[in-house]
Amino acid sequence: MKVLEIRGLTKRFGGLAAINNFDLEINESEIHGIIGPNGAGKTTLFNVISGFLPATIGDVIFRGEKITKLPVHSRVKRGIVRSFQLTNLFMDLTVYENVHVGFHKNYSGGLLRHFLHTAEARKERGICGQSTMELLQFMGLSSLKDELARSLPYGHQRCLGVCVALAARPSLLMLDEPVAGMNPEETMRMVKLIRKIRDTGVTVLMVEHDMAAVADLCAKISVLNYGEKIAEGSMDEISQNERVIEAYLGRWEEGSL
Amino acid sequence: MRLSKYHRRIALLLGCLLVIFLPFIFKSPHLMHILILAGLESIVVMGFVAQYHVRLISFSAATFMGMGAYISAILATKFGADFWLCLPLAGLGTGVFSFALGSLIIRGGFHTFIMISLVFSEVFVQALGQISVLGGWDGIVGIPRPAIGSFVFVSKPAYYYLTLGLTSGCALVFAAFYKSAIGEAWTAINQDPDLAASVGIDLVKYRMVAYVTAGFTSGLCGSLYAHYSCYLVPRTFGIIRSLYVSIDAAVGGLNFFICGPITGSIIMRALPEYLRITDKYEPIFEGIMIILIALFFRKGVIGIFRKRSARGL
Amino acid sequence: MNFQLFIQLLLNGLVTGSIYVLVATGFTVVYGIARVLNFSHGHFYMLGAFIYGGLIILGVPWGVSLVLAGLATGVLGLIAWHLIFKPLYFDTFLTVAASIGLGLIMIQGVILIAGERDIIVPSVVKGSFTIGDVSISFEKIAIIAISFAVMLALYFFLKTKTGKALEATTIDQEAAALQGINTSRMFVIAMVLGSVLAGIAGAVIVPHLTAQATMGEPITIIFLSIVVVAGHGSTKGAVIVGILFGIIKSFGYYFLGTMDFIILMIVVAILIYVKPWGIWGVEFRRAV
Repeated sequence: MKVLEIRGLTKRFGGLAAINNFDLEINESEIHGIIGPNGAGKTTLFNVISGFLPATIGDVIFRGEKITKLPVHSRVKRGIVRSFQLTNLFMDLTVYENVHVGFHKNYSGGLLRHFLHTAEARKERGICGQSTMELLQFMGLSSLKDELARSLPYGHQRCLGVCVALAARPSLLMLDEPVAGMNPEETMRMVKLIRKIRDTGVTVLMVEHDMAAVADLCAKISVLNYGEKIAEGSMDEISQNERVIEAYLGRWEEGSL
Repeated sequence: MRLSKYHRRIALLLGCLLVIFLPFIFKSPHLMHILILAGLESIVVMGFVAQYHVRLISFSAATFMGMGAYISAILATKFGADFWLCLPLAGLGTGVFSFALGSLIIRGGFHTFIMISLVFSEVFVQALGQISVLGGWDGIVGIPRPAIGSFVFVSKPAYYYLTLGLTSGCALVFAAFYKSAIGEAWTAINQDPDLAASVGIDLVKYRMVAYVTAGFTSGLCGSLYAHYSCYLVPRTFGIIRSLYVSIDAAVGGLNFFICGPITGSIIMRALPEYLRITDKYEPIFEGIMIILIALFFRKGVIGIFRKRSARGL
Repeated sequence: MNFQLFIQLLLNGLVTGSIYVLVATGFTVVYGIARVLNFSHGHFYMLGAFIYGGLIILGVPWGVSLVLAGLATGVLGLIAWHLIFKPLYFDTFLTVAASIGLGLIMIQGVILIAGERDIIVPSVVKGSFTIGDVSISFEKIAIIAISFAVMLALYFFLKTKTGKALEATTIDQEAAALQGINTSRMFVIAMVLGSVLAGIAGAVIVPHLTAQATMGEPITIIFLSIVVVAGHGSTKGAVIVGILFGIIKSFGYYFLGTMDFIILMIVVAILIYVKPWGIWGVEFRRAV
């Protein structure tokens, strides 16, 4: 079964179509890339898939289930987790606390139990704490666990962002420009991390500008321009595609790349 | 100013002792009156702060208090119900109502929430004023005082302990929430609602919890208030009152969920008395306080003494 | 209910509705474009009424008075922007508290200058005409006509280059800035424009009512409800819902007297339940 299927997706703001008739298919444990010039609609696409924005027309199907009308938290429950382009973190909380929040969806829904601090609730929090430490270890962040998110250097913040997303136990992880603003060393580390994540069975959908990282990780890439898919295939295939070259070249001449 | 942990424990203990034995130390009924009103108000302020914490700026504070007050007063005067029955019913009634109102306005986003809570606040006052069965603009008088058997709560110390009990109870309720996984979700929403949503925290659900808890506790507070002042007027529970509640919260410190409201309420109640500011000038006093806070003491009074931690009680 | 009564109520509804439209559109402009919650907006309406009333009583011709009232409130909007809304732009709580405070100051100020009693402002347009059985007052027609004219002017203004820039800023501030629009200037224009609309509304209606210092309060409930029901930032919605509410209020008053707001609130509750973001609202913010 396909992990994610998108059929005929269109998103309009007023009269403007940010995404137009977009189709996509992603299979289990793939790393799929989405590239395109600035303003092509990549983040809007992420917003619609994850539920932050409603679609105008079309369907989003996750593991055979139509999730197009579901609210964000329901999609997260089913395993779709997205990260953000700008570093979104709980700035005044420590690294440990940030990740701890990420595990929140695993609590049972019983509000009363948590309010009364029953033994069951406390056990759940204990498990959450354990999982947090395990994940911090996996990501290599344990030594920083008591640092405030605000005080971390940029590269570590991005890493933490991915870590928090992972805490929500995604089966489809959507990464929005994971290596943006990173130097080659940090980029390499992130690339290795993403591969490690995929190897644990997570399917990855990522938006990126860094072509080297994309080429390294993604077996299949979709190219977006002005909200429409203009090409799809492996890095070799699309880099030879005329429309793709035109799109990037055109934008480059325009100065809006 | 930073106090060592040892000093803080001692201060806390002394503070508790002072609070418990206060009526025996300071016999002034006037002082107790101020503390009673401050204590009651602090419950409503705690509700406001809880809502503010989940990024809801609420004008429902006074509305909830008014609703609890009126439910309690009507039950007591028209149905002869005992205070001890009126109190929980007022809380429950307001809680149910806040659930209904919250379901309507929390879904639409943060600006809708502010606007409709304001609208509703004024509509509530108008409804109270125009329905003569509820006493109209002249309000309800002759609300009976609480009693246990033959002991009637008349003296200020009696009410003081009643208020102390209710305020402590409400504080414990809020503390229980803040220290639990629910409080963790609240803090996440406060820090970054988008990120919180992306890890599966249902914003509407957790905001509703804060809203309804504020409704319930403010309803209880309103009930005691009604049976303390023994008369109610609709105008008391309008938008201006909610505004004053929010100023109390800011004065105490919006990041300190229990100490802030208590400190803010006491300061805003006691200061006008101390400075001999009459009712007529109260709006100016409130205005000056909020300006001072906005300019110099953004973190509130408690913020001067405590470092702001994301989950400070 | 006979036909004559029906027409009168409908007419009253259109009169009230026109005013609602002006005030609600004013607020929508300020809120939709500048994203400012000005809870003293209703008091700008009141100020417009008093300034117009004062000028008319002093003998100034009505056209001039109307324009001056609008200008005065516009200027006040500009001052409020620079003193309050711009410095506090990113703090919603303080903006709201400050705007309410501003409203209180405005009320106190008016009471100080004009006294506490209601003031009756003489009508400019007197008399009525009859169609068949129904007698229609010229004043009501004038109010509707002037409101319509103002809204028409606004409509054409929005088609100009500045107007389009304003619309772009409503939809997406960041995108507008990237396109080279000076968003700060847009905010100021919006603030002034919105305040002018409120002031004109007050000036136009005041001969029909009396001028009271607290007249801003009931209108605040109405325009906030209109904006929420219609959808944030939708001027088209403000117009339609505004007229609708005017009519509901008019008929409601006939049946329920001063409790007419209850019907309105029930309608509002139902509409918000069905469409939490407003009928023409766009979910422009995501998880907030």
